Parts: sequence; C-alpha cells; structure tokens
Amino acid sequence: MAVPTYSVKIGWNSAQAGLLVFDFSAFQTISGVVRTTDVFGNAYSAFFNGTYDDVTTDVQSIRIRRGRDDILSQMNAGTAELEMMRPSDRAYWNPANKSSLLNSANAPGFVPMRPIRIQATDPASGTTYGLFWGFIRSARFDYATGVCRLSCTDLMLVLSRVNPLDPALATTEGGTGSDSYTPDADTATDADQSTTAGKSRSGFVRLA
Amino acid sequence: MSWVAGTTGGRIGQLLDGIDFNDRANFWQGGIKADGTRRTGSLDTGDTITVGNADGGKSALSIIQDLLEAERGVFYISKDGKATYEERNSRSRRTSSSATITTYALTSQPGFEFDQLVNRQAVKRQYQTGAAGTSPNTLADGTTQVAQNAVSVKLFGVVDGSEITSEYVPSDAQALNLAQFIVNIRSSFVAPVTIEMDGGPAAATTQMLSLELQDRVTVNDTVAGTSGDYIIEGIETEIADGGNLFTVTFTLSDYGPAPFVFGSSTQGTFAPPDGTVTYTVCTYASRPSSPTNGEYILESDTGRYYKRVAGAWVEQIYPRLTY
Repeated sequence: MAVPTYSVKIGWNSAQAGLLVFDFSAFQTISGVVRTTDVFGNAYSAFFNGTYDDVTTDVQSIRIRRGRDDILSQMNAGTAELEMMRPSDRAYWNPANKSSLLNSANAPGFVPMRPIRIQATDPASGTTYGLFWGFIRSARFDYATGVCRLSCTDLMLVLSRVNPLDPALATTEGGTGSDSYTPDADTATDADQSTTAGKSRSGFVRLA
Repeated sequence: MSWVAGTTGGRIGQLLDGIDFNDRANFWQGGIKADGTRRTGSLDTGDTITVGNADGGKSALSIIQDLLEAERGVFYISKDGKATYEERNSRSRRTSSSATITTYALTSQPGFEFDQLVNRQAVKRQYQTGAAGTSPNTLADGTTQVAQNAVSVKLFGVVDGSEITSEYVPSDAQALNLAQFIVNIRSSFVAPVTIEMDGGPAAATTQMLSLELQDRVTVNDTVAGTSGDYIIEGIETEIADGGNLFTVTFTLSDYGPAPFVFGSSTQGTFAPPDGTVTYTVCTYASRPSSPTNGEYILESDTGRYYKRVAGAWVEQIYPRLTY
C-alpha cells in the first residue's frame, strides 16, 4: 500500500512576488510607520507566487481541518496545525532565536502571516494536489522537546479581521461621516495615505 | 445609509475586492453550473438582493455569513487557495457522484441526533423603505413567515428553530420559502456520516487527495450496510510518522432526495421542465420588462426558474433540488 508524499512550504520573505495586497487596512498603523515593507505591501496579480522554503523534512505532524460539521452550519475557516522540529538544531524553530536561519537569512523572518502551503502527491498518478493554503497565525516553541507548534488559518482569517466600508460612508478625504479625517499636511505619511484611493484612514477597507 | 441593488455573489465579490483578493481568473470560483461543470474565474450569482452600505461595524466574514444565512449557499477557501462561493442550487446540480467509496478503506459512522430536529421555523425579512440608491434610508419589518412540518410535529412535538431576521431576503414569499427550506432539511435528524480513509488501493489514495468540499460521493459500505449519495461537508487530514500515517476523514451529509411534505409548502408545486407550464428563456439581465403575474421564466445564465407572484419574481425549486 503506497501512501502519498507530502510537502510543506513557507514563504519567509517580506516581498512575496505576486502576493495579495492588504494595503494599509488592518495591517498598517495609523501613523503609516509600516508601509512598503509591510507583509502585504506588494503587487497582487496572483496569490502565493513568491519564493518558498521547503520545510517538509522538519515536519513531525500535520492536522488540517476544513469545512463544517453538518449541513446546517456555516463553513468554518480552514486550519492547519503543524509540529516542526529539526533534530540537528534544536533551537532552529525558536521564533525568538535571532541567529536561526529562519530569522537571520530572511526578512522579516519567522513572524505571523507568512504564507504556507501544504500539498500531497498521488503515488499512482504523480498528480500533486493542494491540501491547504493559508497563513501562519501563531507559533509556540517548546525548548524541552525542540518542537514548534504552528497554527495556520486560510484566507477567512483576513476576512474576519477587516471591517469593510462602502464609499458613501468612507469619507477619508475630509468628508462628514463617522470615518471623517483631514490629512495633516506636515506629515508626509499622512499626506501620502490620504491620496491613496479606496482606503480609509481609520483602517477600514473601502469597497469599490 | 443608502442602498444598492445587487446579488449575493456580487456582494461577496466586493468584499474580496476590498481586501484586494481579486485575481478572479486564478483564485475565484463558483459552484456547479447547469451544464454540470464548475464555474471558474467568478463566483456564483446567488439571490437578487438590496444591501445597505457597509459602515465598518462588521467584519467582511460576518457580512458574508449574514448573506449566506438568507441565500443558504456556501463560501469557503478551496484546498488550493481559491475563494469559492457556491449558491444553494449548486448542490443539486451535482447530478452524478465524483467518486464511489466502497469497503476498501472505510469506516463509516452513521447515526441520528434528536438535537438536530427543527420542525417549525419563522423567518422575517427586513426591507428598505426607500428606493435603491436613495439616502438616508431605514429598515422596516416584513410579515413574519412561519413554516412547519405537520408530520414531524405529530411524531415529535413542536421544535422551533431560532427566528431568522434578514435584510437579504427579497420578499415575504422568499421568506416563506426559506422557512420551508429550513424545515425541510431539519425535519430530518439524520446525523452526518463520517468516512475515514487511510490509503489502500490506488483509487482510494486518489480519492483521499482529490475530493473537495461539496463534492458528491456515493458510499457503498456492504459490510456495515451504509449506502447512498452524500455531499462532503468537512475534510480532516492527519499526517504523522514521516508520512507513514496519512488519514483523511470526510464528514458527509445526505444528498437527498430532501424530505418534502409540509402542508402549505409551495416547494414542489411547480416543476417547469416536466412540461406542465410554458416558461420564457431569458438571462438575469434580460428578464421581461413588463411581466404579468403567473408568468414563468428560466434564466439561462443562472439556470434558475422563477414565477411572477404579486409583482415579484419568486424562485421555483424542485423538491429534489432543495436540500
């Protein structure tokens, strides 16, 4: 009985080519400190098209859940729980270990919201299927065992964190609505943000 | 707050656009179309609705859940990362199974749960007092619509579901349809069937990897006696021991036919393709401009049937095609 082979790949770099953009919605500070180096500050012609690090050999276990329990429920966000460990380097998967290659060789490195994809290949046909595409949500490292537990969630995580605002109510450039805001001419970042179409100063995402 | 006309799928698309997840060609998809193939590059249409502007008080996911509470379709992220919205009728358009799961790698766990039962349901729509595009506007309540399954009530007593109040139900007639629909599916208290697969012959391994949420499968467990057609509602994958343990568990719901009785239900009183009535073929955008009550149409682009009732188009659904 042949079992499928699997792969786990994570994108560590800040500028994933083709990664989707969240502009400065829930992911940027109001002051605009985080800008082009933001996790999602790149073009978005495709999803997850950047360079990936194959970490399959460090995987201890994977549990993926998608869908719902019954027909009466709403679909839940897809989740993946992974246990990662590198026996030859016990501290490799410690998120706080600055000398770990995960942090030293990448920027921003081992931080939340890194894209992760899990795939498996059918041994009979050689066809590769997706099992999960999402983002790292949290990491918990246990030095006693050297195991790092990654919790990952699919795009529903983003949808649950963004409060949309329709144009009629999104008065970013000095309107009268609850989201009204007048940019400060002395602050470059403020002025810059105020001219970006479609985005609210309050951090809401404006709908087209 | 002003209001705009649209569709369920259109509104979900706006929300995806709002987070710039808008690579439609590669990462949007719908459900099964009338021709039996999956809609790619766009979401399904859903219902025709009028929605109020989002005011920043709800998350995009909450808005989608509100939309689907009324439309009864599903929204999920596919295993290869695609935002997927399937309108409710997509399920019924799966006219054949994607796979047959037999005893070769099967642990089926059928059962029933009384807690699943609802045999009386109330739905109240909320509607805008002004025309679409006008502002300000306010919500008013429609007439509460109640549906019940008399047979189930006689057998088990009345079990009420929580009243649903939604601004995404376009008419009182649709509110009644929704109430009837919920009673239809919840009058059956059959618990989901779970199927666990851990490999086996090549066909089983392929099924473990290729099957997706909402796929229709045929189960033929001659050992336990479980058989029938089901829809995949949940998928759980577990990998351990360097890949030597590779288990996939499918949670399945009964495909149908849906229970269908219920006194005054309008579902099933009409079936255009059976030749009992004549319907006009059009598209969603080219509906008759001056329809008369009692007129029937078939939208070729959505595959849906409507009847003109009291000045509004009311969707007509087969008993089999309701779930």
